[in-house]
Amino acid sequence: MKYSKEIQNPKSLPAGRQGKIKTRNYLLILTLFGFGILSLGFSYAYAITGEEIIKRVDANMTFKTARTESKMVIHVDNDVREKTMLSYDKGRDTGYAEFLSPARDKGVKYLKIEDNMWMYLPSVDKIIKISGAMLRQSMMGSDFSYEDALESTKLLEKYSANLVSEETVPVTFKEEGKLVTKQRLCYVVDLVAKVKEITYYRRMVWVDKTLFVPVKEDLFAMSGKKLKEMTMGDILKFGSRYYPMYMTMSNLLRQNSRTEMYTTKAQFDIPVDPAFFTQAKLTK
Amino acid sequence: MNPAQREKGVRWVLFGLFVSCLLAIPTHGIELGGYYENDGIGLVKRTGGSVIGDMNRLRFKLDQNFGQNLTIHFEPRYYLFVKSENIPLSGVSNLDQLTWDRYYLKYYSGLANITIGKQRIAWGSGTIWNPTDVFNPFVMSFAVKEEETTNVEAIRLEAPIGNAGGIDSYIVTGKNWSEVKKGIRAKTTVGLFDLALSYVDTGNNNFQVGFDSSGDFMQAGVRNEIVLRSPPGSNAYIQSVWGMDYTLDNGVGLNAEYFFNGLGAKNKDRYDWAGLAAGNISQLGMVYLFFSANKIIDELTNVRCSLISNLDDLSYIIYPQYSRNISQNVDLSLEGMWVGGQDGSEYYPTSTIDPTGLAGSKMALVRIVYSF
Repeated sequence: MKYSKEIQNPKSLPAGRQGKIKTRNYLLILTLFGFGILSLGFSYAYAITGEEIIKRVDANMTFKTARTESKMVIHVDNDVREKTMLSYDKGRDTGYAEFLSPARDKGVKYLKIEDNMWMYLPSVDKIIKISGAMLRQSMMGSDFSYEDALESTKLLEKYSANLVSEETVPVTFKEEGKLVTKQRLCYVVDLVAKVKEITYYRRMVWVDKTLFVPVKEDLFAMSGKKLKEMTMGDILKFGSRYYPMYMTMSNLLRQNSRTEMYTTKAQFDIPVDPAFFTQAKLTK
Repeated sequence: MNPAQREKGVRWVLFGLFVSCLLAIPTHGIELGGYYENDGIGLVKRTGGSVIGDMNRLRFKLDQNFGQNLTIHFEPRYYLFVKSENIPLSGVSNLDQLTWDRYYLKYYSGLANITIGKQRIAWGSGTIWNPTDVFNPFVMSFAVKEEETTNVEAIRLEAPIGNAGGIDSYIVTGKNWSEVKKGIRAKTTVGLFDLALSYVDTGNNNFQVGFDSSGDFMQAGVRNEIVLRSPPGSNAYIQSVWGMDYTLDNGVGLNAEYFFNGLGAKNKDRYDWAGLAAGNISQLGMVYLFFSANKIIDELTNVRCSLISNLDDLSYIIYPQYSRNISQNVDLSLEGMWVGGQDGSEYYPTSTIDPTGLAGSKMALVRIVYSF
């Protein structure tokens, strides 16, 4: 366990130990690289395609309805800001979110219906459509963009998915109230956009091979530049399915920033008033 | 103590009592929020000389919910302006007194929402110009908080149709039926576009018909408003807004808006200054452009520069801003304003038109907002 934590944050260790960890990291990278070469060589042997993996992820992660309470923690250098929100979702295409704190953001609400998104600003009592360029802007000062929040099951309509390798990555789980890190074998799926007019032209997704939960994702521009990094963890079991209760996003276009999202309470497949998914609810 | 000082003292006592009462109310079912804002303002007048001022804004927002379907909202504010000489500030009125900016009762049902009282009714999709909004058709939203805009006493009925469409209607109260504004707007969503048609009887046989839209085209946000107005005894005219926003790969956001004013004049010698001063019109010229560029430096810091120009007389206002969220509920903003143009132009009038010399001033502002 200690080994995993050190791998995640070797800079926190004394220089001598960092050297040892670096050596171990190189060994791990070499091992992974070796696995990668092997897996490339035997890619014909995969019993599942990239497309099927993404479909399995959708099937695992998409609930009929969901009610979640979340805490968003934004880190910029040494500054930390916390926001709390309440969300209702129907499938992955319809959602409602309301910010409960801090005071400056309280009452700001969002409604997502398929590819459309609206924001309600209580200070001016006005609903604003978020479209085009605004979708690429930061959502509530976080590393997430509105576009990230709009993500839906239409991923396979926009991207072709190829399984490129299998890798072992550290993933956190909550067991008996404690967070534990485990090395998990993951599919690495390369998603390449079918169209050029798209913010993330390429996405590399690490999907837990057993649970079909994405645990890591790198997002790239068409130029090949990495734009964002996302990790997921604190995976909990709900019925027969698994769901990550913790997520981090780093916008690499900005320096020293990172947003963590903690799901503090989650209820799935519960009755939800359809009124939550209407514009009328935004002004209520 | 003279009578004016006594009256001011009484107002402060009353306001103190109001704040005490608010704090003493049991919190069950009541949501209390608001902000205190301090603006330090320095002006260099067009005619020379300088003015300094300190604007203090305290605003409370109080919501009392009665069950799931009924809410009463109160929004009192108190503005105190300390200045070296009188400065008229856009959107700021009723200084040094308690003002009930908004107060309304809202009833929700599955079929419709009904709002009765002083409220904001904001129609349209434009950023700066909203000709479909008869109450606030022009707001320099980059410089003036939209919260400061006109609220109206009205009865409003909003009936949703489907998830994102509906009928919105209002009747302004307090005057004879023939004089009051009455409006209706039907809205729907088609693909990635919101579309709306509106009709407003602006009273005294005036009316306007409007259309507005906002949506997504080629990864750019596009928006449009167009109205036809028919004043009695004069020719009908059109006002329209065409806007677009786009974010570059480096994160710089661009926003542009073009406004055509069919009531305006091409030649500055024919400007209706009296109509502007009386509040009958919002613009003097015919063609305007707004442009802004903003960059989010990090999650807490944003810089923006805005330009608004009357393309007929080429006068302009440049407005740079730097803002940072300095702690969880405290925001700091540094702003400036530079005005240019020929003498007698809209944003740079002559001393005959503006004897105070304030229009066309250069300004610097430090703003701190504490939200609670």
